[in-house]
Amino acid sequence: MTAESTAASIGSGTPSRGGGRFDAIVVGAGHNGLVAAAYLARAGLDVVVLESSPEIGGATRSEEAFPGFRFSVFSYLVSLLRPEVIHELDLVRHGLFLVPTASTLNPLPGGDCLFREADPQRTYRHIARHSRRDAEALFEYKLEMRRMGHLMYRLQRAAPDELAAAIGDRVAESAEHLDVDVSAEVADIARYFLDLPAARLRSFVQMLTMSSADFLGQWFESDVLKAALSSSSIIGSMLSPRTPGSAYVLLHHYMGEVDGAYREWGFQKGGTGAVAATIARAARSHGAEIRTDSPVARVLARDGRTAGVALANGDELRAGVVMSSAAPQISLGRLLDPEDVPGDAGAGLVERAARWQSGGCAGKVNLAISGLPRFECMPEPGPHLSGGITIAPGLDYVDRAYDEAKYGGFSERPFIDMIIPSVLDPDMAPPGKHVLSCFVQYAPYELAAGDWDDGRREAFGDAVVRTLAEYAPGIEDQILHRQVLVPPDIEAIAGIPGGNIFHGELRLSQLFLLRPDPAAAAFRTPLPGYYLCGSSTQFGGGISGGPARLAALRVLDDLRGVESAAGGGAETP
Amino acid sequence: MLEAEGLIGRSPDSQAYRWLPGAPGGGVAGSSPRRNGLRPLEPLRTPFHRRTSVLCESDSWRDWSGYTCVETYEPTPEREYWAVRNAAALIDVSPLFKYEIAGPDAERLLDRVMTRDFSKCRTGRVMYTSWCNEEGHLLQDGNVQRLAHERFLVSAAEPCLRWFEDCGWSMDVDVRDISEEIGVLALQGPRARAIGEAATTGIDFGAMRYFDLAAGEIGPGAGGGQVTVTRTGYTGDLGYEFWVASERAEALWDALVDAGRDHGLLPAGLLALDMARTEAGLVLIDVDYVSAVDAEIEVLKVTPAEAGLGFTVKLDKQADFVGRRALELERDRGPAWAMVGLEVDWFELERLWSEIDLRPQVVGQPACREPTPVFAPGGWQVGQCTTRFFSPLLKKYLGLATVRGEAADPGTELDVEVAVGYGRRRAKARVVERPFFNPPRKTAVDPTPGVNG
Amino acid sequence: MSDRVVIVGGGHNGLVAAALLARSGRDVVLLEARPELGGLAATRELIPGHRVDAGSHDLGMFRRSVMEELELGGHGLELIEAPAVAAVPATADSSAVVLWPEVARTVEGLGQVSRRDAAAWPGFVFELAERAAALEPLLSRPLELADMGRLLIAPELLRTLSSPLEESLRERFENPSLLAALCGVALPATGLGPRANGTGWPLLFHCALGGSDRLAPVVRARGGAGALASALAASAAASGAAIRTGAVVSRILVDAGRVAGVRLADGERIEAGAVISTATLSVTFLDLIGAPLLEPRFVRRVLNVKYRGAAARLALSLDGLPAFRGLERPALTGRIVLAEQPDDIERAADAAKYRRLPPRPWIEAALPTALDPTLAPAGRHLLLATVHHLPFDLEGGWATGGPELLARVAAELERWAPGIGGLVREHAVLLPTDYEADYGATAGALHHGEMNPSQSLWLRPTASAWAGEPLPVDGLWLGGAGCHPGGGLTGLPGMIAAVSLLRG
Repeated sequence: MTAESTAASIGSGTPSRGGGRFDAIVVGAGHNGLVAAAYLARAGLDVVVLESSPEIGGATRSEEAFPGFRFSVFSYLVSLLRPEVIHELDLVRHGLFLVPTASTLNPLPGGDCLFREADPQRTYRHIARHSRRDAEALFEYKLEMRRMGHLMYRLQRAAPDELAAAIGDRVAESAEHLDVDVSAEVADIARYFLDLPAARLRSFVQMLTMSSADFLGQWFESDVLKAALSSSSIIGSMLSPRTPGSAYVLLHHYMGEVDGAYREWGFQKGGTGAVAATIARAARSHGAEIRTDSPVARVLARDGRTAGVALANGDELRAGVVMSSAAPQISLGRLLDPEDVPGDAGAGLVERAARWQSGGCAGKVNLAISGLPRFECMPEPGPHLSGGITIAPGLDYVDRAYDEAKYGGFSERPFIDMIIPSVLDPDMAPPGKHVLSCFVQYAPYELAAGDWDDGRREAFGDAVVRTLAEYAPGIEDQILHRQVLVPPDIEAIAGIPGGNIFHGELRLSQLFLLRPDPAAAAFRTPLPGYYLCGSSTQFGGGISGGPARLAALRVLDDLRGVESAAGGGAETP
Repeated sequence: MLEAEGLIGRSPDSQAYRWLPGAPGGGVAGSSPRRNGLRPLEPLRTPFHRRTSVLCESDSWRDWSGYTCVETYEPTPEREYWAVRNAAALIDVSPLFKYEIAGPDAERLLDRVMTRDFSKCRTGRVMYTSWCNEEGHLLQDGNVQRLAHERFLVSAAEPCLRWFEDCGWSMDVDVRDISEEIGVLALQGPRARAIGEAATTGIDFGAMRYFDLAAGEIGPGAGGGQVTVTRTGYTGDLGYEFWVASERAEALWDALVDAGRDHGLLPAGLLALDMARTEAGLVLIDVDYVSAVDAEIEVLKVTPAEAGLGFTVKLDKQADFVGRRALELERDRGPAWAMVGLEVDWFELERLWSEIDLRPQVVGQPACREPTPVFAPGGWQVGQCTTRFFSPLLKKYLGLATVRGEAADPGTELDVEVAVGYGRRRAKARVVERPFFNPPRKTAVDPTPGVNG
Repeated sequence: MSDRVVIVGGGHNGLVAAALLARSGRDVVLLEARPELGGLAATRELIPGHRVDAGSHDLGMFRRSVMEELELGGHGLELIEAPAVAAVPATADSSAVVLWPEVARTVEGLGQVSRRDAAAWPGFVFELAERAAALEPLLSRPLELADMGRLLIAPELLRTLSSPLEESLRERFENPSLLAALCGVALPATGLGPRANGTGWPLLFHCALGGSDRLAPVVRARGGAGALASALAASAAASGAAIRTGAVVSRILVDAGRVAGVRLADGERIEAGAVISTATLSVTFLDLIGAPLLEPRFVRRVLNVKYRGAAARLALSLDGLPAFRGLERPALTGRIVLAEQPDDIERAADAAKYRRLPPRPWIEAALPTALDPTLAPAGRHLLLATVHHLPFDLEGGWATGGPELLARVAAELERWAPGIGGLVREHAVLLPTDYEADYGATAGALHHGEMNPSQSLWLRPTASAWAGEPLPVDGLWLGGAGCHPGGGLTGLPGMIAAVSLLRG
């Protein structure tokens, strides 16, 4: 029985009461939509999740694409999943099973490699072969990044408007345009942030603006290590390690942890789809209902307040709260009618949603193979096969791959970040056979010449296999099946416009109060009762659930406020 | 499935590791068959490994900077410990990082980096020193040998090539990591001089003062080869350290073992070394203090004075060394912390253990490195005890502790948390002078073995 | 301790600092290594009988209040505002576009190439001016961390500043020549292509300092940029400053963590209680003070300053005005951007990443004689072609790369102004290596360090601090283009240094 079908068979939600009336409706059953629903249901609300496609999960999806071979279709590793979400939703009880990937292998031309293991001494020796200075500097770098990761971890507990107001209180003569009550916790976080030593604040501002190559260059000299470490700075982003701003993407990935262990990545047994199934189970256990094949056409409003949603088939569901986990082009550009927004708060919303940058940059090539790949640098099976394996042999290599995509081609010699899920979880492939999950950059959403459906998709797949074969000769003969997915596929299947895995580039112009829109950066949209909770909100991107949690808490706060207002302010602390 | 895929039990493909660096100085290549074909790196072996491994009856090993090192040769470290104090012990300390600093600005670089005054370090001398970051926080401690006017050798517990290079930016000096090129043996104990003399030629041991160095040959009869001898060690006893090119390491070992046969020489592992260094009151990086580069939070960082190494800071020296300004400020206001010796009252221990109807279970145990809190009599925490053990020689339960400056005076009564069975109890302890054990023979001119030496 | 202030470097920033300090009654000695003043804003007779500007020559961003306070008009400075801001000539594949200071005039011209762009222009200029005005107060004083906090909570300004320039522009405009013109105004000395994040910042910078009423106007000094230096020097001298040329500073003397003066290459020692260095960070700290006197972490910071986007300049003496297609004479008075589309600049930046010469160098041209005929003998015209985004660490080196670059520049000029080759009578070249050797411009970077957000605002050093930390030497002040707000003829780094020093 697959994880999803297990999920479907247990508690398929409570039947909706009151003929299509709910306390809250969540649009989209990706991991964030499901987290939001679970939090609302856990608080006792009657919640329904509406998913347009036949399956839940969004980009967090597994499928048995070929008999016996299971693929994590898009996202492939878990690290950013917030500990609060794991604990508060009791996700382990509902099926969360994360196997850590303990190492990273960067094969290099000529049978060389850079290998980073869990043991720092061994990693020191691996790097020392390339540069002793860098092997030493890695300790210092990791310490600094651990501190930065800790800072980000703390910042993430605050909703962006509250944080901005708290910072504004401290730095600006007036922050009155931010009419926000700041909780003691957030005030604390703002104080912590502003009282950091100058050098750390400098690192933070640098990470918002610098290229990862320059940022890493502050510690390292060797091209291979800089390229290896910069991988995290380009994942999911149309950026090269030399593009300003890529250091922030690096930081985003350093927020990750497993069990409080910094910078660990984990593989979910059964593939990442099982994460969505797990959260769905948690949501259902609290009474949330999840409906697939239910595309939402628009958000309904009455008297300047949210009233529910209209489905594409014309059905209308009523609720005073609607949360959308979709990207802003959909949530703000399509589902919301600016006319419904009271006053002039809706002005420019649609135009701004249209300028949101969420062009895809990555493809996914999933391979079913007849045996383990033999990397020239380490042909024998070993622990390196249960870690991440990245083809990024140098900064120039990655930059060239980027340059090709910048002008509308796909990378002929791409950057590849892969894992072999079947080594981590034998259930992913028939005994003796394996699946290889390749996250590939760069593949633009739109090609300058030709069309993805016009043979270019397979040409892209060929480029990936050709590149793999440079480092693992013979792999081309091991391939039994191949699945090639490019940004338009991510758009079509996961419903992300442009196919950007983060629902929008992670860069300063799309962060903090700008994510995804100055009028909707605090999860509230200008239409009362309508909220955002997806990856395109604060600190979104990756399987984190963090934005959805903060959004759901904001909804619950607001509902409490409405109640106490309705109770004539009788409620006193 | 694992077997089918060859995850288990397949012999390695010789092509698999062709990028492995050569085996500098022997000991690395071909000595032991791989247990499996999984690892891209061989376990690191010191150049003495072929000798030490056959002697290691206990099969008790420990990782030291990636090297596989003997923890104890025998199942318990007691005989090895007593060899240090009563005869002589031979300890493989090759995993130390070693850097050659050479060039016209070599002395200038060391004076820039180190807290000690290297303008006063003559050729043929060794200096024990600290080095700090810009905030005066301790990075490491280690020995520096002046091999020639413009050539030094620094030995350190952790890598520091980048730091030396960056401190010497624009200086006319070359910093080279020679860690793999040199094997190091510590010969420690009252009989060390006699053994050293018999195992080498060309070195006047009688003329070697504490922290002198001399160069000679291995031999006689061992085939020769250059060896540098320093009168240094990490045991607080009479002792010498022998620095040898890795390819001649085994010859040196053999020569010392042959010479030591009639003097009760034993090879000793790291547990015995740890006991001896604690008795000598010597601090250990990562155990008794945390290097500033490894300290994730500020409170873990210490100055040399706070780590008990204040004597290595020479604020009267001419050169402006890294951290000087901060250390001058500290001199004016006094260090916040101090490294002290603690002596736990024996009768107190007996009393605590008798509560669970046992005699104190501390005798014959290796030193314990799990930090435990130290309290003022009032009950609040004033520091932590980072190493403690029962000294078989002194018959005392001793500890090294970092405590607030105001609790550091000898004679101060403190409480230290000790394990009593499964329980954790507070035992009365007294601040005492370090070192706990300091025999005259350690520093004696022309040392002779003897009971009182 | 001496009351004297020694200023290292007689570029315009050093001269501004000297003049302001002398005016306040301080004992000032300014030391310039070269025989002429002006530094990268000097005018030299690189071609006999021609007054050739070696580097910057646009005074559009120069602080007017400083000009007035120092009475530069009275000291011989005469400004000429160019009728045009920027122009892109036509090619076989693209149309000509001219940006004028007057909105209506620009709209009229744009109407010929894109009605949509013409309609969008006034709104663009208005919005840009609004954001530039919000930024402007941050550019004339030292910044604090709080200022970065303010930026983080000012969404629209932050967005404009941090977005890729081309992307922002494409929200409004479609015509490739127009996009190229705006990118051409913004991107010199950044080393970045218009697709890079943070390239909105340099455009805002130009607009904020160019005066809010017009978009980045071009203003020149009669007689060449060197006239600014002469006027500044005259003003400073009138207030009692001692100005010495040919005085090569070899060392900033430091005693117990405090500056004590400077030593010249000939051994002369000049005592001073304060030293303002207008040299690059690299020269100031690594050459003049010396790494062994600085903390290793500070040395690392200095070594990590980026100087990419080197420049080269080709000066041509022509028999007549070159025929840039589609441009009338008034249009030739401003910046002439030789790029058909933003990607032309992007590709030049691409090549530099790999330490190569771009197949088509990105050239910013100027015809100073179109505005001021006195710069060349009668009948001659002077064309200055500045090639941006060059790799200083060119693969194969500049000995062979220089001639190759010249050949490519010549071909590119011929493409934009057919027949120009036949007009050339004489020429002179400054390569990135010349800029470094002659002017101490580390790695040939005219702005003393890339002008991108990671090296700007709070992250760029200013007067006596660098990103929240004081400079390591007491009595040392920084006042060159490597300081906040950055490069270009603004006078601001020098002014900020002087004002900060006077405040103590």
